Amino acid sequence: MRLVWVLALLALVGYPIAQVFGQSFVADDGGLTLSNYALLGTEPLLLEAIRNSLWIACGTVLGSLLIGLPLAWFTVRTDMPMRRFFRGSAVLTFAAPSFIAALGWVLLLGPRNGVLNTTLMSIFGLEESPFDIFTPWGIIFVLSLFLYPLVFLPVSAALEGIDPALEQAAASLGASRWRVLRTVTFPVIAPALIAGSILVFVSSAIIFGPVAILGAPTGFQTIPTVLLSLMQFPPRIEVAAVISVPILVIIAALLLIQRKLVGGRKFTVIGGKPGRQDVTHLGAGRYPAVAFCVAVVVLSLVMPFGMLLVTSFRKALGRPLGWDNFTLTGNYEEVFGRPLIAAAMGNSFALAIGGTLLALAVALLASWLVHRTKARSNAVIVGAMAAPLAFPGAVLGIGLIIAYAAQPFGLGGTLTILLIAYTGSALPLTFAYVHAGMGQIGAEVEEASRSLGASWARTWRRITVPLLRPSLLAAGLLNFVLLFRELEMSVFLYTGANPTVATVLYNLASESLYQRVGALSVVILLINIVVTVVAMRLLDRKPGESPRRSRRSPSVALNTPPEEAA
Amino acid sequence: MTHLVLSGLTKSFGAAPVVDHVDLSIEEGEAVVLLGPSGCGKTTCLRMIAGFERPDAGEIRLRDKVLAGPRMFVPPERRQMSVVFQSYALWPHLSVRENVGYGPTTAKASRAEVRRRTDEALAMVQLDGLADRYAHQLSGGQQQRVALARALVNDPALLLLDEPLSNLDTRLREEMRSEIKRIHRSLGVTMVYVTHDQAEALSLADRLVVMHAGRVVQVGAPEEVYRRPRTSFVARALGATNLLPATVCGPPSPDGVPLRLPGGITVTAPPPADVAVQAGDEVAVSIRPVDLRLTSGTSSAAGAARVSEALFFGDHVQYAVDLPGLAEPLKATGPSLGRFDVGQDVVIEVDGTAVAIVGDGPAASVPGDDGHHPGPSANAGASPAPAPAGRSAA
Repeated sequence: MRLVWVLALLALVGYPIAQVFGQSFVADDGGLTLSNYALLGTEPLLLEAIRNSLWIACGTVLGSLLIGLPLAWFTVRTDMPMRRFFRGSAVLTFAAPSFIAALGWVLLLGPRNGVLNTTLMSIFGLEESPFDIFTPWGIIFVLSLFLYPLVFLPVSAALEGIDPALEQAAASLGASRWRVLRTVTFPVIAPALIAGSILVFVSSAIIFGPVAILGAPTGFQTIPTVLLSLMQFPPRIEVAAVISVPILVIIAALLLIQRKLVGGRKFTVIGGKPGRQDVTHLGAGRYPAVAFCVAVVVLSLVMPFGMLLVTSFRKALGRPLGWDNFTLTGNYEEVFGRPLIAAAMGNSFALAIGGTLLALAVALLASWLVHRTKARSNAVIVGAMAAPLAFPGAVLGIGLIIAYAAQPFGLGGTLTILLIAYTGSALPLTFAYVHAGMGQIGAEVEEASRSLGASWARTWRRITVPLLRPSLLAAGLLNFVLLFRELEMSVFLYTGANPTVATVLYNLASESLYQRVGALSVVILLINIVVTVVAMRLLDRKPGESPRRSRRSPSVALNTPPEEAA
Repeated sequence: MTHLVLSGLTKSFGAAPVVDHVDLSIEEGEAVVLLGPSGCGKTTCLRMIAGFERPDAGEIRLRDKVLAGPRMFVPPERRQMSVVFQSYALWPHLSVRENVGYGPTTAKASRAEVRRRTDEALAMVQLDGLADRYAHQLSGGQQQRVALARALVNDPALLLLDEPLSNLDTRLREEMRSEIKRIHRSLGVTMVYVTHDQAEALSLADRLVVMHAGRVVQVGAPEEVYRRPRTSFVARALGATNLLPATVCGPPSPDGVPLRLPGGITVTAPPPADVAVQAGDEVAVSIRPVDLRLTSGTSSAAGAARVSEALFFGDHVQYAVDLPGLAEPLKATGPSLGRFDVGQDVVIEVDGTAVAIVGDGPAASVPGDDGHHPGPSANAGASPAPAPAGRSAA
């Protein structure tokens, strides 16, 4: 069993990553060398990309804090109305595809035809468009709106978890409200805040989709986009490997710090006892607070995706909105009329389902080993299952190309290599859910079955898996949604022969076919939503469960432990 | 007929042996209770019998068939043993009927057969009518009954119960205790029962096995183990007791050992089973609080003492009594009618048959009392306690 797990993890993640390291030491003549690393200091393109990545990352951390902290405080510690709604939408943002949102923002704030820009120009009689989304600022803006949940979720969990006695003790000693906030509340949530910021930093430095879409027109390159250009013809794989290695090291170090800070504690939004803590009464301050939260929801969800929906019904981008520019099905017909897209749909479905199931199988095996065997190596399993978090999609993609694209495997441009990529990247999240679920099931319920004559296999089928169902469904649902529109790795592994919906969408955007982009985006989002709703229904229908628990299950599904989803 | 035999059973977790060369044989239809504090290895023993753990050494045989031994391990599902767990381990996704019917269903019994046996088992634990509920809709006592029914429905060769009552409150625990006793009597099923509760152990056992640090320290009928504990550990494991130093004040005979207790009390105790004593020896004795009789009297007589604490419990009174020559007060229990007050002078009387010579001295067992026994023991000059003999006997 242990051997099966080791082999699976090696094939999915270990071997490709080892190949990246190996390749970085290979000279042109095939010998071993360190000279590749000299490129890091000499190649101006690389230096600029690293600088840009850091710049984007720092800006996004700041932006996420500006959005996430007030939102956390408003929703947890004040009497602002609609707190649950705002909290839910933050969680929803987390599952929304940021590169699709970036496409929406191109339509809204593009310098030439952006709808918001033209509207503002006509209202105020401006000569030039006031905003340009194709700038580093635009990238930071879009990323902040999508990564702030990484700050919001841990911080609001920490705020909720504070023992109210801590603050009451300070207040009883005469501390003012502000002093309590500064001397007690803030230090207690500081680890969560720093941990969240690290996740935002790492995610934004290595994210591909939005940066590629918004940076491409001006040639603004960050690490992942440079990596992609290095992998394209003529490929310079060893250079790509050389950049990947320090990135891996830095990310691993940052994630270790982040783990230390959260101390292995799981952040979940549920579970707090409502009304336990002192609630700040905002009074008239309620209105700006609500306005702020509404603005966050509108900017992160309503406007970009709404714009794509609207665009999907337009005949031409250049002409203004209006009935004569309306087509209900035209763009959709065009999108689905193309065999490439039909094939991509099929591929994405198959890959998302396949990757989800394989990841579930590996995660089940791993958590069974951890919970039901007593080997000393079990701690390694937990660490190894979380390891893919530290590998950016770009690096994992490069590793897979080095490892499997050429002979003897010859998997370049196949669906199989995408399946390997998807499965590997789905492991951390899947394992987090399955492992937690398994921890809830005592060994005794399995032993009871064994002692009544059921074999190991029957015990799994009749007892363990049914009891794990909520965790399995939650993990499966989330992974399906994330994998269905996976871009970060797919774009590296795409050769034209293995299209997925995300790569097709990306190519449509590169060709500026925005009505089709809109139509395809809407379809992808619809599929995501339908899958989510259906899965929630399934989660709700649980015989023999107390209604309280079954109602909670779907919210568990959405409360991604943020560290797992970076 | 000998049913289950454990021989030299040993299991370690890491470096520490948890079960250390346990030998035990269990007769058909017998109820054997393993008693001991947590960590003494009793649950690990049970889990090895059930097949959840593999022994490191030793052998388990059931009806002359080897279940576990060198190069032999029968998995739990082929051992025909049913386990009742402390946590009940009911499956929350199955109804009561499905839980109980799991065994017969797994054995591919016909639908009608499953139904008949399930109903029978539920009737046996008096739960008919609740078959369609789920575990979380039942009280703790009902859940335990379901767990019991689920175990009994398979007609097991051996019923294993692992602290089944410790999650219940006192009243339910008493009720379930007699329930288990009744079921054992009416079905005649062979039963191994693990507990740390002496009341459960004494009332349920045909034979009591006291364990300490992975070893069996005493085996016997409950009354015998209670009355004649061989070590101070066993004496205390079976309830409150007084452990006192005593001197053998005459030649022992098969009829009894003359002893002088602190306070000048002299008694003739039954001879210990496996410790040889002779006149002049220093020994340790165990006397239960209920066996110390207090009478009002003056201080010149032997056994003169003074009440230093009296706790009223309604049906009885617990006393702490200061006896000259003892650092610690004695525990005594008396009737609540005609009770004594704190500070009152009393005379302690002991019946010789209630005195058990234990194989290890108070020096090894009574904390805060080691090394300084004033009075006669210091003059006797003998070794303080025959502890080594007692240890090797265990």
